[in-house]
Amino acid sequence: MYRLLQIELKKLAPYRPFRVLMGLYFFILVFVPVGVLELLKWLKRNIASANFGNIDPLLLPVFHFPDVWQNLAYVSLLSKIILGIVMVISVTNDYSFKTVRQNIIDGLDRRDFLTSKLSLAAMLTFLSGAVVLVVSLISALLYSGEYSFGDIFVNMEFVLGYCLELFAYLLIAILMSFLVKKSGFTIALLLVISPLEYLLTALLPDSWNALDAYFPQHAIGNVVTSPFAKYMFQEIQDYIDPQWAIITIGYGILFIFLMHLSLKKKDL
Amino acid sequence: MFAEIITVILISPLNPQPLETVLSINNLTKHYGMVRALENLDLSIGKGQVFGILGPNGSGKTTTLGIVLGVINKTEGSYQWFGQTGSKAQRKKIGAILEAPLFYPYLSALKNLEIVALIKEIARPDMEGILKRVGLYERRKDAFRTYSLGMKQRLSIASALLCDPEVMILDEPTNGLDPQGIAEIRELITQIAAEGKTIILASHLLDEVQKVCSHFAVLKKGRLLHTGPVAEVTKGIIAVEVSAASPHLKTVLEQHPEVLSIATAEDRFSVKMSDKLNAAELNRYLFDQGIIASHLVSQKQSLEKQFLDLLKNSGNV
Repeated sequence: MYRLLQIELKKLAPYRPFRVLMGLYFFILVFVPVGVLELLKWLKRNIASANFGNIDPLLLPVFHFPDVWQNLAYVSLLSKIILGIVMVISVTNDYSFKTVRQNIIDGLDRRDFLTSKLSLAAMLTFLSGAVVLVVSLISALLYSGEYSFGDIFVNMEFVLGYCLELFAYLLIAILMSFLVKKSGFTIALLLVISPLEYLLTALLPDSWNALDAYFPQHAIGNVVTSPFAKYMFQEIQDYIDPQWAIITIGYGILFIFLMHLSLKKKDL
Repeated sequence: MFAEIITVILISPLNPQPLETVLSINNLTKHYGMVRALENLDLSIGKGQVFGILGPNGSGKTTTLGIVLGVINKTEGSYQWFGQTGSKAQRKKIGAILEAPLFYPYLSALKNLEIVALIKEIARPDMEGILKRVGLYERRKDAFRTYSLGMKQRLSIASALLCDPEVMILDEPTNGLDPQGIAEIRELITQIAAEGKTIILASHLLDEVQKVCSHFAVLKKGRLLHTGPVAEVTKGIIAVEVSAASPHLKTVLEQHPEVLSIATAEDRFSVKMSDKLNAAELNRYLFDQGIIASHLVSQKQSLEKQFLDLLKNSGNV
């Protein structure tokens, strides 16, 4: 497993598009949440007329324990497309250079090849999760008002929810890459697949509405739900619903099975 | 012609001794939908052989190699490496390239070889030594995409050599190279063969196979037409062109037991005979019979001629 990940990193680390995307991704992950708050502060200082509906933005407990976990998990997931593209590049490069063929000739088998891609996705997920954890912790320690030590750990499971949702998304990216094989097409498909699913569910007859939430993008998106309606005094789901976590894991297993199937049958 | 080759092989004193088998292919079949790329192929390759697989484009050479290397799924049949069913563990000990050199274009020769070494789990790969050997050492840190075709082919060979393999598989290693590049690759193959490694070489260049191979097989439309040592074909039958003033020349020639056939060309006879007879002995025989040859030229058979004859005689396949 470690060797397969090592092979994957040797392939990608010197690749310029990979470096650029990873740099951009981690920059966004680290600085955007912090930047948002600094922007709000700046707005408040410099544009006295800025009207936030009579709400002082700094008074919103966006970065306070325990809100910070769900808020940052949700916001950080918005940049998952960049990691999706990284995964697509990693798989489709091996097809366009035909190096998948040489990898197998040299002594991997098809399962090893799949495992190497999955281990890359797992590593990227783990790294992202670690960054989200650290960034959330630091920003909350800096900006929280009063909190007790126990408050820190309340809702921390959103970091796990974040990892689950991200990994499931990366599995979709890998599966599509295996099926489509061309990087351009796959990236385009990755960008439209979510809107397409929402369009499809909207077109379904009303009597099917109950099924909407079980479609993959819907179900996976239900793991970490949007927290921001809370600040408009609306009811939100401020916990991780095990039902959607389990369905997401189920989809993940299905995706891996489909990858295995598509790889096993094909001549390379 | 085909029948004659069979005869020669049967009576040949060079009958190959049974060797340790490196690769045995039994009844291998591959269909791509309606296309029959490979049809009941049986083939056995012994240790230390330099084995040429010949055939026109689309004859099933690459399909055969793709199957035994695990990248193409067979329809039917089986193959064994060293007497065992194919596995990734065996592939790690085989150095192989199929069709074009396949590497990461943005990585240097050295980085590409590092990936190969990791895949093959080679503990201490001698990358620099091997790059020196194929003449790429000076360019080892340049990206693969900046290489000429000849350099790419040489990196392929370097990559195949990296695990110090017992068997090397080279598919059209001189494809698209200029004459100098072809000569370089050929020299490299000859050197490697001299180390006692088994080499399987797929090619449609007959001259190449004749120059470097000890054994060969001919495929056409996925069927095996012929397999055997190169020496039997190129040295076994020698045609000798004879002419003499005597009107009995043809009769006398026909009476010799080792003469296989006689073709008439203008005032000359082209005599094919078994390898028990050579031109000098034929000359002596004629002299003993009272005929003095005025023209005597021995012609070596080329593999190319044999190959084209094989293909022609299999026209109905």
